[in-house]
Amino acid sequence: MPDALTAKQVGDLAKKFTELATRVQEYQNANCNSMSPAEYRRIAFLICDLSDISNDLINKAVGLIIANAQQSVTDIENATTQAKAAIGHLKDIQHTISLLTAVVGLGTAIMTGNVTAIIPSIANVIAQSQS
Amino acid sequence: MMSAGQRKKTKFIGLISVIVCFSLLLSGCVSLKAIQNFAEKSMQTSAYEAFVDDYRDSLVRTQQYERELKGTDAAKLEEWEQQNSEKLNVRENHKKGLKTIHITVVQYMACLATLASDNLFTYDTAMKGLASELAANPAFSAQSKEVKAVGNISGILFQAFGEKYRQDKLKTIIRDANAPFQDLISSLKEFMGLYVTVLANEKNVLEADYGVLIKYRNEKEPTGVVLANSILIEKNAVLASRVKSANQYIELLNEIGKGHQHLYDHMDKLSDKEVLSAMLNYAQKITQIYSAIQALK
Repeated sequence: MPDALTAKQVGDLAKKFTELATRVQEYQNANCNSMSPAEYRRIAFLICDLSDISNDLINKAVGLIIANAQQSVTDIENATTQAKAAIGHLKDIQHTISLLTAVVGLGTAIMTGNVTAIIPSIANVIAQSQS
Repeated sequence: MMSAGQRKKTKFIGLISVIVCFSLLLSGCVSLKAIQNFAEKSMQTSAYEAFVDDYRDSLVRTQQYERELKGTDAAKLEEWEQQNSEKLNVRENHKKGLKTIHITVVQYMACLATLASDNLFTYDTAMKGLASELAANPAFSAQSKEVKAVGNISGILFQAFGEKYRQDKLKTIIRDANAPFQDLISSLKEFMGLYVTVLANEKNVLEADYGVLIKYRNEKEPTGVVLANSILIEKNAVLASRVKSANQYIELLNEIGKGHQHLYDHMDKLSDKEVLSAMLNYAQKITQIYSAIQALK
């Protein structure tokens, strides 16, 4: 198989062999009654051989499809990483605001001298900083 | 006559109003749910895994029909089985690569859906919480109304700028991803076309095998012909259903590719009603085709 053939060209060749096998089958069905069992069997073998060639070509074509897709897979993975970073950035801003809110709550509790509010406020700051 | 304090407050409210209006204009403030919907529908394509598995399994069935047809010439059979085994290994190895292409598309679509989600962030709620905490702080109590106002306005501002950032990122990602994305969709379509040919090969060999069986039984065992015919009809029906399902999947991939291309062609106006309406149509088509594929199972 020359390397110059593309996946599409190899795939198209495979389809031609399949079409040929189908045509032979149609011929076999149309002339079924005028054939001896041995002739009928030989034609059935021929259909199998043509289908085998098609399947072999398909194996080559799919191998080429996978190899050719590698660069695009990498490019899309990069775009996905970029999207994940943007999502993370948007969530970070929200997280910062939540942390800031917890810190202000703690400051308020300390300034008012409300001892019962200080402990839950500290817990809230810790929870926000760890989330 | 307004007091100096009142004039200051009016100026403050006026300035805030201008900033809010500007921010709303800047962000577009339109729901991108249609884009999220399109991306979500595009990632729900688990039928593909079954096609990839059957790409290999179809060869197993085809080889079995050939085995039945060609009989048992021991020396050739061993060589032939060896070749069959190698061909099956090639397909088994292809499965990983084929699934990787699909997973890459699905993961990209999942991120696109998240980024287009209107619930991705809610700064206004968070900022209201911050304003309440500030207002409760004795250091700010004298200006508590202003603090609340600033808190509320800041929430809107964050929302607006967050919205602008989100739309800019969506645009950048769609722009960078479109060419490789279309390549991967083409690869998936190309594979699916070949899978349909694999099924056609299976059908040809199946009919060759059963044809010989029926021809021979016609002369020696006429009663067995009815049974062989009914098995052949059943197997052909299963194959026809798989071919139909695979062709519909190609149609579904077409819609996904066209939908992404539409986003790319209109990336400067993603929040336009026409664009969102078109994306809704693509999402609906994908859902319809996918339901039809599921119904064939």
